[in-house]
Amino acid sequence: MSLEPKEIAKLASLSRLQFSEEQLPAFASEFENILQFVGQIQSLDTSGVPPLTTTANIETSPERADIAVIPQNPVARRDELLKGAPQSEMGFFVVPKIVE
Amino acid sequence: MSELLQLTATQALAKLHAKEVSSLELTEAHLARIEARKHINAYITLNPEGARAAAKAADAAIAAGNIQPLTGLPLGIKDLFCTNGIRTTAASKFLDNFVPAYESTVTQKLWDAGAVNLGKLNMDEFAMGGSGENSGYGPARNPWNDTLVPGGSSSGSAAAVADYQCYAATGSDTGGSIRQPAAFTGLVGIKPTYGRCSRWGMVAFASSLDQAGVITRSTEDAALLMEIISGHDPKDSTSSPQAVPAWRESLGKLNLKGLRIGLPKEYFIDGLDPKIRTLIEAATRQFEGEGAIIKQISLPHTQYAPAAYYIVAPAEAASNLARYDGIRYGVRKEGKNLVETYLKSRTEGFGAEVKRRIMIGNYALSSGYYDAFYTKAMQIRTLISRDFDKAFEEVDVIFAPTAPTAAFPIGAKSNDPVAMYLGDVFTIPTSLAGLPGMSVNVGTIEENGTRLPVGLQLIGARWNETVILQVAHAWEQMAGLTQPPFQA
Repeated sequence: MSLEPKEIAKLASLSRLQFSEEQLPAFASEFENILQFVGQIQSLDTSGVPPLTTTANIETSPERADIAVIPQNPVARRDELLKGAPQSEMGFFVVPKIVE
Repeated sequence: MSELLQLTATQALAKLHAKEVSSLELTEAHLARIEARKHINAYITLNPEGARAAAKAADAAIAAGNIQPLTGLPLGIKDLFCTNGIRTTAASKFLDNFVPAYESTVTQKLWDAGAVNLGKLNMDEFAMGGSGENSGYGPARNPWNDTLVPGGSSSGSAAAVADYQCYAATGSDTGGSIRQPAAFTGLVGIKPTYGRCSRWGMVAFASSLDQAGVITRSTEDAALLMEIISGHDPKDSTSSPQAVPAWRESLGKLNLKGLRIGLPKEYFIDGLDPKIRTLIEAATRQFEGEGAIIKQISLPHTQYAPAAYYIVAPAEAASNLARYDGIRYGVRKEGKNLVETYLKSRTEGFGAEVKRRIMIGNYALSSGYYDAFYTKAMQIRTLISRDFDKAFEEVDVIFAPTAPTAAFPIGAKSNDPVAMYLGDVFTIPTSLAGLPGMSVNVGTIEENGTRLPVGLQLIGARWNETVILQVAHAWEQMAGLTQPPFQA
């Protein structure tokens, strides 16, 4: 299984990751080894086998009421959570410019 | 002091609650030990002031006769359990400054039961790894020989418990991350049935596989702690309402006569160190001598498990780790615009293995490859799960090696991701099937002049942690409870 450098670049861009020109060849070769390894599954016939997404019994899981939980002091809680943000102002997250 | 450190958790609790020793004494002894043994690099963040305050509160509670099951017991916490007000990094530089504003359910249950938090333990970044070397904070070292890895991803948990830097530790297991480090350090490690513990407040890696568990120095300690951290949590709908059995009380009550032990032939393969095979077979014969019935069984899809796992887990990881954008928490690396900020933050924040898995996951999930990789891997997951269902019609417990080798040198596999992945070959199938698995020390082997511990893996049917805990405990009674060497 081989991948074109531009395919890796596209996948990296979709993953919001960057690989420098120097890193790319080593990464590409590792990536191909891994794809070859996981590609072993192709040799098994699985036709008609249902996929297993989780072993949790979702059908019988208890559900909580779909009601928003409002903290006792919403402003204080908001500020507590915003403390972890790299940048915040007036109770909001500050993000870099989105529209050019 | 060293005698106090070398108690099991159960023994320490007995002394605490009989007022023979105070929690503050035990806490100080551990903090001093951690300081003296820094080169093991077991902890990422210490909690000395918090631990002392909790220990004093525990001592006051004991004096007042208000004793909970873990009152005063100093523990270590894997650094992916969010702890309110205490930095939680998941060993990622991306979360270098992340201080959660809430507590994970598992750790809250420990504090409610009276335990003391010594600090947050090293691990592979986002629990991705089998050696601890993928930590953004340097690798933890194996106390048996500090040139070796302690296993991973719960590397700091295993290193700290084996080095007497805490009585027990939480871990998490996605494909073997509790069992393999327990094996590499001569400890007890249990991953319960998927859904036994709440995942709320655990930094997510692969949500359909992640389970909390514990690493301890005895099966009794493991049973005690698992009883505390298990149970349904309304905040995690995948946590089960199944009743939590009285595991500790069940120990010693298993009749080995007639116990059906399965040995899966697919686990005794060429890649398995023959010295490990010999130890597992010798243990099996001892059980046979006690009246157990040994059956050869087959789990025919085992060989496909690692490949299927290394699609499913990265696919879920790629989705889970999309949240790390440098906007709401974590470290931001500013770019010219939003997309460039994402790119720079993620490229600089994540380590090499995490990037690898995000790329693999997004590849397997991309249109054109989705069916051939992701769907196919989930179909194989079904086949693996059915293999176990069939096996448990014939046997009560499965015996297998925990890992194909003993602990390996730091650096030995770090440049070969596939070789590292294959180290999980015996723990992955249990995880894919969501079954409970446990590792217990089965002896030691000589490797280049170093004595190294070996783990026996016990696998139970869904929700049957009881049998694996009972069998592990029976083994400790038969062979004698072994403890890692205390390095002065």
